[in-house]
Amino acid sequence: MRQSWWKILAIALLLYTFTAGLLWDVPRLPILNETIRALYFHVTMWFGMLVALLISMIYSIRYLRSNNLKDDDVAIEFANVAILFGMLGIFTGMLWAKFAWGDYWSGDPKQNAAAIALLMYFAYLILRGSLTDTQQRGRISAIYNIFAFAIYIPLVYILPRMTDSLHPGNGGNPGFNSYDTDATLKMVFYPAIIGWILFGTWIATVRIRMRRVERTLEDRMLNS
Amino acid sequence: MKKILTIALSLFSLVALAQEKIAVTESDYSNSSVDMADLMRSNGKIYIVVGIIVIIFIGIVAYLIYTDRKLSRIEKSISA
Repeated sequence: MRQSWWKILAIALLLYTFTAGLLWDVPRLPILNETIRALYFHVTMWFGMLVALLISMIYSIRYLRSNNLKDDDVAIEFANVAILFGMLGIFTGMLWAKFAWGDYWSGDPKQNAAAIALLMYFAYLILRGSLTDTQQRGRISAIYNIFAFAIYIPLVYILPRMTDSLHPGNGGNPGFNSYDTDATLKMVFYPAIIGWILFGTWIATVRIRMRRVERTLEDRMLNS
Repeated sequence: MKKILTIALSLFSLVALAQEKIAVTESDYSNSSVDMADLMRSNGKIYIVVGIIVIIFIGIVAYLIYTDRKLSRIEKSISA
């Protein structure tokens, strides 16, 4: 229980997101109507993905410096969580888009970029699966992961904002203006982001520990 | 000095660009011209939906806690 305060915080923040996010006042805007509440669920998925990918990339760098497979475990499992968040983000986005923009897929720059980003990380999983030597797999996939992240940021967060997009935030950074959200929305939006990030971290840590137990057991089998 | 001026001007240009958009204001909360789930709220039925979502979430979290604990036990048994 000593190190589980952040897990409790994750549960509390998400319970708050589900209740306040569905019940609290939101701006009554045309076309969006109640779907503006998807801000707390769809948009937060991408924050979860971004943070998970950042952690994954950092641990890939650490692995290249240390050659310790424990770092590789963290890199792959945070990438897995990032892909989970990304898929949920794409699917929730498609549903929202059907009712806000009229179609599941409008070829919007950000939609396309997000799809490419997901394919890029599917390739990461395939690359890992195709290498059997653990150190070789760790090294090659770590390098791929670092480059993938370097492409991911401009692809999803910069390029779509430099052109006309259905997504908010073109012509600048939406973090610098108050045109898409306001203080009331942010009261739920920010806690929701933190909640989802912590929840994703929790899932990742459980899977990282699973990998380490598996490796310990394998090593014992080989040595006995 | 030149740097500061550049940063200030680029920030200003971002703000200027953002002026084309419409800000969310207080009146957006009180209008009755836009349809929202008011009927659902007046019936009280929205709380049932919230309750269902919360139950599902608690179920998933309980499962995750169970898995977490089980893993802790396994970790303890292999380190012993």
